Amino acid sequence: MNTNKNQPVAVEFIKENSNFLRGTIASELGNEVTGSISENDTQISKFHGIYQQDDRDLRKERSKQKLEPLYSFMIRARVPGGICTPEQWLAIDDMADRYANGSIRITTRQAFQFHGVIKKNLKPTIAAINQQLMDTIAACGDVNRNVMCTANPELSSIHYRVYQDAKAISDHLTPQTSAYHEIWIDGEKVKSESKTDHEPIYGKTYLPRKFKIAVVIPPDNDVDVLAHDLGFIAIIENHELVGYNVTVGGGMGTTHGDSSTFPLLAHTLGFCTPDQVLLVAENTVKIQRDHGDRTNRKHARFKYTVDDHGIDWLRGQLSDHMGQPLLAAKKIEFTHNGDRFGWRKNLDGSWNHTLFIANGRVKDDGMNSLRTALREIAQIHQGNFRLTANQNLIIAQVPDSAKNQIDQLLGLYKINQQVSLTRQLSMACVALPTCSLAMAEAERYLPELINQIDGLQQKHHISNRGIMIRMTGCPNGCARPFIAEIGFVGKALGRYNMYLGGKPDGTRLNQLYLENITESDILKQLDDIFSHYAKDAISNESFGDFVIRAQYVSAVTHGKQVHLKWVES
Amino acid sequence: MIDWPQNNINPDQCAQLAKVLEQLDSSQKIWLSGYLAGNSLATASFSEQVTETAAVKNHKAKKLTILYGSQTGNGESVAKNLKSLATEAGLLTEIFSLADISVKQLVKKSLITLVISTHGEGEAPDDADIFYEQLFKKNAPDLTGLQYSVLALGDSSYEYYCQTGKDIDHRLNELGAKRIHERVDCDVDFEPASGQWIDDILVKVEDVIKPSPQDLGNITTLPIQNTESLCVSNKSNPYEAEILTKQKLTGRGSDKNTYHIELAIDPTQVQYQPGDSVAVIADNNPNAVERLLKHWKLQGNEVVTFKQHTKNIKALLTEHIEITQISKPFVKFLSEQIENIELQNLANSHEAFNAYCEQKQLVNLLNEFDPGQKIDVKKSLGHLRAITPRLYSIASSQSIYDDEVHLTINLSNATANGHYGLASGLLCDRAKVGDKVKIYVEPNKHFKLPKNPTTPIILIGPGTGVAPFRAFLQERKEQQASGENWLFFGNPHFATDFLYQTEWLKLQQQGVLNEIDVAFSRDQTHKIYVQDKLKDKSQLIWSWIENDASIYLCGDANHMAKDVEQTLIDIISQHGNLSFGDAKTYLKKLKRTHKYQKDVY
Repeated sequence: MNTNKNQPVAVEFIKENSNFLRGTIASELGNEVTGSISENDTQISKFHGIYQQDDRDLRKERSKQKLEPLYSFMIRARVPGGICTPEQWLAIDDMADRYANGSIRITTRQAFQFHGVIKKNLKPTIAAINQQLMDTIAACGDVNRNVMCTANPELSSIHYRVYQDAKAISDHLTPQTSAYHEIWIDGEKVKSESKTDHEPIYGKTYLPRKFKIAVVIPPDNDVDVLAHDLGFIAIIENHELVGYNVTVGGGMGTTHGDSSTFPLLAHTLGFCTPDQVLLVAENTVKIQRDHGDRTNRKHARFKYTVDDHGIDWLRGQLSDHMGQPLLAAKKIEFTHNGDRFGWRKNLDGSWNHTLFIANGRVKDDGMNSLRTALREIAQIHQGNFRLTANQNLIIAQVPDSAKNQIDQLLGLYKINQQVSLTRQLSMACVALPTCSLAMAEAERYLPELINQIDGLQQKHHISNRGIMIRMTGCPNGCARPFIAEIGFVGKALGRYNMYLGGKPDGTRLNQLYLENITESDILKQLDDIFSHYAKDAISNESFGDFVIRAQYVSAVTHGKQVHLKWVES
Repeated sequence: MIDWPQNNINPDQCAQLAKVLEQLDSSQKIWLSGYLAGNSLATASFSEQVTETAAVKNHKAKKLTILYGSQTGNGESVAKNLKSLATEAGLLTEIFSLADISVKQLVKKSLITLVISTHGEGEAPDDADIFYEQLFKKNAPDLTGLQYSVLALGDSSYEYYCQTGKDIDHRLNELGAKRIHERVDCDVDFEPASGQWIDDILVKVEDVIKPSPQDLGNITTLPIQNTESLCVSNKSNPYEAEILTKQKLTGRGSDKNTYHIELAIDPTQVQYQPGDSVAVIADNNPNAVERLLKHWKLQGNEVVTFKQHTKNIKALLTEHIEITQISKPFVKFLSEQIENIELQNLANSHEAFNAYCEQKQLVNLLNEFDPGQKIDVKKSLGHLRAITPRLYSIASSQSIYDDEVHLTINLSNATANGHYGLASGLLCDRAKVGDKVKIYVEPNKHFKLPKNPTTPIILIGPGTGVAPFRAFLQERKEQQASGENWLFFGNPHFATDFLYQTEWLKLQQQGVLNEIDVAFSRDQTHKIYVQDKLKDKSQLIWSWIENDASIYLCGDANHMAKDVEQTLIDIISQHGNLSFGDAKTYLKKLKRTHKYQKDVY
């Protein structure tokens, strides 16, 4: 069905020639003259959960010093549904010092990320991750990524049931190649003549682009299920999981100024029973494998396949693959996409404490001893940890008897401090200095900007209104900025596109309000709009709803409207 | 017109020679004079004809043989100076590097002078080590009938000061040779003493070799005007080079401060070959000078004399007196004047002295041990050394950088007292881009690329030892030499200390650098050095050696060079199936045939 007569992009050939994701990674690891791996291997290494990066702050300086860029690697460990044990946490904590830059990052996809791992530490780090029964394969690359799942486990038994489905999807869609173990774990080639690699679901060129799946339990929409290629919305009747609404074709990534790229929220395709989940997932992936655009990486995501062919075409395709159509979707309702902070009691009587982690970065830094605190908590914690889709951390399933002890540790390290409602809802991607895609700061800058915004909210007496602000350093959308009530997407150092009008339940995209503006522009605009909001908001009217009613932006019903300005101009 | 001695040269020859000589400029004539007088190798057919002349028929009785063993070029320059003065004085002379003569050949000589330096822990310079070994063998020849004098060069701050010179002096005597002049030991500021030695030698030698008038014929009548070519810069006529670039090479967080310095030169005045060094003539740091003046409570305008220079003290301290390196004789002198146990210890213990000098400079020594300035400046001056030029291996090839010369310099960490080395402090710290520094080229003919461009080369240069190899590889690339190139480099850390990394990577991509192996000693718990990398690749190295590869080694002489050499012997022994002793001989042979060359310091 691919109507584009262009040639497949170069990456397609690299994948095809990689011998099921081997490339020349193994020999590049032994090349001591450079801290990098070959360009082709940087494409292949992503499938192993490894991104080559360099310290962009030092690029110019090192070039003058006749030194290559300070290469290091980002390693992403998959944590399906974001659930990990205290033992795993302690191991990750240890690796952060041993192999990485001393910090752990909780990602917007509920995974762990290490930064600053140098080439010679890649192997020991990945081996250590695997030793903890986690892995890094398919954490990046043109395959199904970490499967997300609602983290708020207040309905304990239901949550566990749904989590198991998320985990099963993750396992089912994990690449089958033996290259991963061969390169990172076994060290030597598995010398089995009879057994050749085979990817029953992906084939040897894998998918045209990354593929993201989330499972959600309404009314929470913490995972922003509609921002994913494929979503499963749990339908619960009489405290029982009866099945899932299936959503398809969501995704965030865009390219600045390219009106053929746009974020999209997923369409609802229908309803499937729990035993159909793997079938739906596998066949949706296969449809994208066969129909996704391999000639243009900017048009290769499943969202464009769905948008180009239409939802009815997809319904038909899936029905053909599965041998039967999906049932009609059930009615669902989302209330919000944030986390619930502090202590909350579960149905089974245990407790969860959700901790705000600024941009998911866990590190000790001067007065801040977050990493130490969490390490000490992990040493005594009897339940588990949950990484949330908002980059926060839940200390989950704490028995009543252990609650005080956790509280004491939180208090001892002063990491239980109250932050503003707006900050609680905020999210930023990593961006500079490590991410090679970043055009502007995000993680290092958003906290400062929120200081200013907090001040404006205080000035206008609207501090009681949490406003969801998200910032990314580029338009690829890791922190899902196009859903935010206020989104900032980096264009250049110190310059951002500002988007307004997302809905705080994750069901509406925002719209570009101003392009390429500086901090002073941002603050001046927000000062005016906040003043207006403080005066004219209807009770409980969210900021996202208000800016539409007040006509700062219009309500977006299709992703093409997000950048209406580009289309017009 | 030249007045040719008719008994030696017939009129036809006279006319022909005159015609040729007219066309020669002064430097060509100088070369020719040396060629005719010495012609060290005596293999060229022209030189054979010359030896047929009456003037040199009795050369065994009449010739002064000048020998030198030189690491930095100082010994060679003294030897050459003696040669030109002796030639001027009408003496028949010949000159050899000790690398080019064997002890057995001494039997045929009647009068030798030997200029020899000492390195490290009392070691002979690289070009002399085989000669040295031969000399001390049991079967060394009887040298009765040979007359000689030794000039020893050294550094009195080392325990084995002028040791090689002393050894050779004793041994020649032991073998029956007769001193015509007592050995002279020269410290780092060797020139006054070496100049005196030359003067003395010339007088003594004239007594031994009385040139007969007819012998003078084809020598003295050649017009010798100047021992140096006029345009090319040299020690007494240095070139003022502008600093074009001053770039730190080591990255953030490194323990090292290594700089890449680019200097602008006029290619008609400064010429160099890959392997040569640049000597930098630097003034002392004005702050250090001020502190010394303060110590001695001087204004700076007091006029005093220091080794023939009479100037105000500030100028002397700035331009002439060594104040960055403390000398052992000065410490000894001080310890004799001042009673202090610690000072005695410095004067007597080499370890203590070395440790002290790593951290301290002259002003610290004086402040510390003579706070009441018991020893005034005049007393001190007699015991201080003259400033000496600092040598750096050239890191560029002039075939690419016609009007530039590049250096790779370690700015040793500032001592506790904020002092840097003399020239490194000037080039890497004080001087700004655009400033000028005085330099001249110090050729190193024992560290040269193979003449045959198809010869493979193995370059071993950890730390700043990699500098000449940057020049080598630039040159090989420019020559489009087809011989393969293999570089071994090492330093503490990969991320920050991989000097010229991007250049090597580019050369690797371009196919110029065929093999590169790196050792970063402190990137893992156990230390890895270049010699470990050599071991790892021993099989391949042996096959390169068998394939006629030339091996070059540059860098630290004390530890690295010894370990690398030992490893090379091991490799030869293992893969060549040779006993340890035979492997050693094998490496020596490589050295003698210039297949193994070193520039270590």
